[in-house]
Order: sequence, then C-alpha cells, then structure tokens
Amino acid sequence: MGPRGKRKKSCFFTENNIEYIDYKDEKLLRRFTTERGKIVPRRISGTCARNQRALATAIKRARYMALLPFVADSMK
Amino acid sequence: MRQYETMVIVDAMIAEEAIENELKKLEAKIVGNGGQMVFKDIWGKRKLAYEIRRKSHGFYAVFYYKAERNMTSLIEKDFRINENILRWITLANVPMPAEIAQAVESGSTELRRSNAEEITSAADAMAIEKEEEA
Repeated sequence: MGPRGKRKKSCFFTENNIEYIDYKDEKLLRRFTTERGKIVPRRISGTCARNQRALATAIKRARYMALLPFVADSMK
Repeated sequence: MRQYETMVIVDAMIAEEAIENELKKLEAKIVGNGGQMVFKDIWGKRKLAYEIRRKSHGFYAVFYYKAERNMTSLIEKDFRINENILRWITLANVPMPAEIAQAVESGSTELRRSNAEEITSAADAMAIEKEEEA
C-alpha cells in the first residue's frame, strides 16, 4: 500500500466468523499486538468496534495469565 | 448450574508429583462441592511472558466444569492461600474452544499436551504480520 493509499480494511474476526475471542488463543492475539506488546489500534488493524472491545479484554486476560507480555523489550 | 472455566498456573519449580497433587486437589475441590468436571486441559510447563514471584516458568492447566454460582469463591479462597498457585482466572458461561468441544463430544475428559510450545518470539510475530499484509 502506497503512502496515503486507501485500502478497504475489514474486520478479521467478522471475516473469519470468530464469535468469541478466546484469551487462551495466544497465536491469534499476537497478531493484534505490536512487537512491544501494545494492542494494535483499530485504525491499523481494521477490526470493528465490537470485536476490538472483545479483543482488548482477551488480550488483557492473556496478559494477566502471563500468556502475553504487558511490556516487551523490542529485541530480546 | 453454570459452565465455568478456570485456568491455573502452578509453580513449575516444585516436584512433578507435587504439581499433580495440586491439580488433584483442585479437582477434588470442584467435585466435592457439587461441581461436574467436564474437561481437563493440561497444557504443561510453559515459559511465562514475564516473571511472577521470580518464577520464569509455570505449569498451566485449564479446567472446564459445571457448578453452582457460589462455588468459585470456595476454590479461589484456596488459591489465595496456596503458595504453589501463581495465578488463576475463572470465567463463567464462555464457549469452549472448538477443539475442546469436539473432544468432549467424542467422550474424552482429559487432554495432556506435551509441554506447550514456547512463546512465539518477537521475530515470529513480525513474520505473521508480514504474512497478513501480503
């Protein structure tokens, strides 16, 4: 995608018919966190509002259970 | 009765029998208080994303069970005073992962994973992102 290039973003969860975002699914959640462990904003990932909320909850649960880092050093 | 799932992280530094013992104690607590065990998903030893009480590894297990509303507080009381339990989380009425639901359907009650894979490194995460973009 070029600079300012527009690309229709679509919600990953809607497209893949994922109704419940599981905090145990670490691989899935990792797609939506940056290298540093931050939650990727909607404007980047294109996730719809409803799923973004559910995603944030799932990521936070995963963090609490030490499946995902709260903060990660960018290079380990 | 509601369906619950409880994930616990047991200290992985203690002896294996001690870990098994903790899991048995938990199961006994659930069943002893009128709960019905649905499925045990034993993840095994896994690296923690960050240290908890100076521990770098934990033994993960997820229990799916049916129980009355007031039961979880009983189990959690135990967790709180048990030093071998590093973390726990209990959720009510959430769907089981498809994989587990299938296993239950086919009549099995327990899954033991050979030690859960190590956490995907940052490099892997980036590779996934790239793949997404392509």
